[in-house]
Amino acid sequence: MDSEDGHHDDLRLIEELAASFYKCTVEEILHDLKASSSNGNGLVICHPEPASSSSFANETAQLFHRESPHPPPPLLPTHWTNGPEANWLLLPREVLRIIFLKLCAIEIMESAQKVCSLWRSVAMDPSLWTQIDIRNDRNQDEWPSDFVLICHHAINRSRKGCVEITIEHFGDDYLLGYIIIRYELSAASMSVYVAL
Amino acid sequence: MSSKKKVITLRSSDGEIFEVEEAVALEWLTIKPLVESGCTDAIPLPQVTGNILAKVIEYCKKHIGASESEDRKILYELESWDADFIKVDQGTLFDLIRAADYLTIKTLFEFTCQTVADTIKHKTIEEVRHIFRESNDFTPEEEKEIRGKSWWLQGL
Repeated sequence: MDSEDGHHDDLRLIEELAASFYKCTVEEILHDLKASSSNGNGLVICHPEPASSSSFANETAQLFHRESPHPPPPLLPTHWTNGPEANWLLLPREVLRIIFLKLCAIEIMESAQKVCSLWRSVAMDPSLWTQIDIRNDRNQDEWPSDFVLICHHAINRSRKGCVEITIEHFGDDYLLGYIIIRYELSAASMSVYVAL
Repeated sequence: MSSKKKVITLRSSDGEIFEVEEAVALEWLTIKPLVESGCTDAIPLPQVTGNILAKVIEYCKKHIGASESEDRKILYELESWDADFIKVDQGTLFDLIRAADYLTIKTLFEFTCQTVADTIKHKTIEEVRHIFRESNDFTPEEEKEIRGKSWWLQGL
């Protein structure tokens, strides 16, 4: 019974600590942990020294601000602006649809459809979603997106017209189950390529 | 059989006259029926200016037969020729797309559309708006949603 009560106390202590950690600095948390561990309640806390913890914080910060190994390409090639401007608003909707066909699902969902309401309405066209190819290229972190949700919505937009789905390096049982259900509802045959 | 290839005459919107081989003109599906009917008059193309028509002809002459080649060297050379060909200003690119669409030239249309798609790739929303002069016509509420993840959850 004693050991159970002790376990219960530890849990309560951890909950309290967790609540107090909210919006604290590393140093403050370590200070709190030291104080509570020295109360003789039996909870042993392993932690780095404050000095090394701040250097760890620096390293972490550097990780997030590191230079990309591939510098981004220039916004536009110089020849693009070497002449009269084009009135892209006059581009027929059908031509815009063909251009969107050449973009990947994530580029449409995360970028193109957010440009203006015309582009967004073109992005809803079911014909863009007959072949859904979403690959989580883990070397690229420029799309901090939820691939599972994007895949769901791409499938929905296809309005049962999807004939091929390729997903790579993401996905869960729920998504695969959803694809199977869609496959069974769909009149045409559908190929699914999955690499998890 | 005559060794001399049949030539088709075309007239641009600004009155310039161009001559192309029949084989080239047959790739332009919009005028194909006219060409096949043996039309000998200059075919008017009121939606294409002379300078754009010259570019279109240049592209099609280069591509006739070469696109289907299985020789890797030829295909590689064609690819690098294409890359130089499309180094044009946005106004010319836009006109080439419209001309390829109007004349129904599949290879040129696909190529120019691909060029625009490549321009959209790896850009932020603001950059794309700036490049294509598309104005942000979303309401402030919609704009706020765009920033959030739930943007594309709506309107399904």
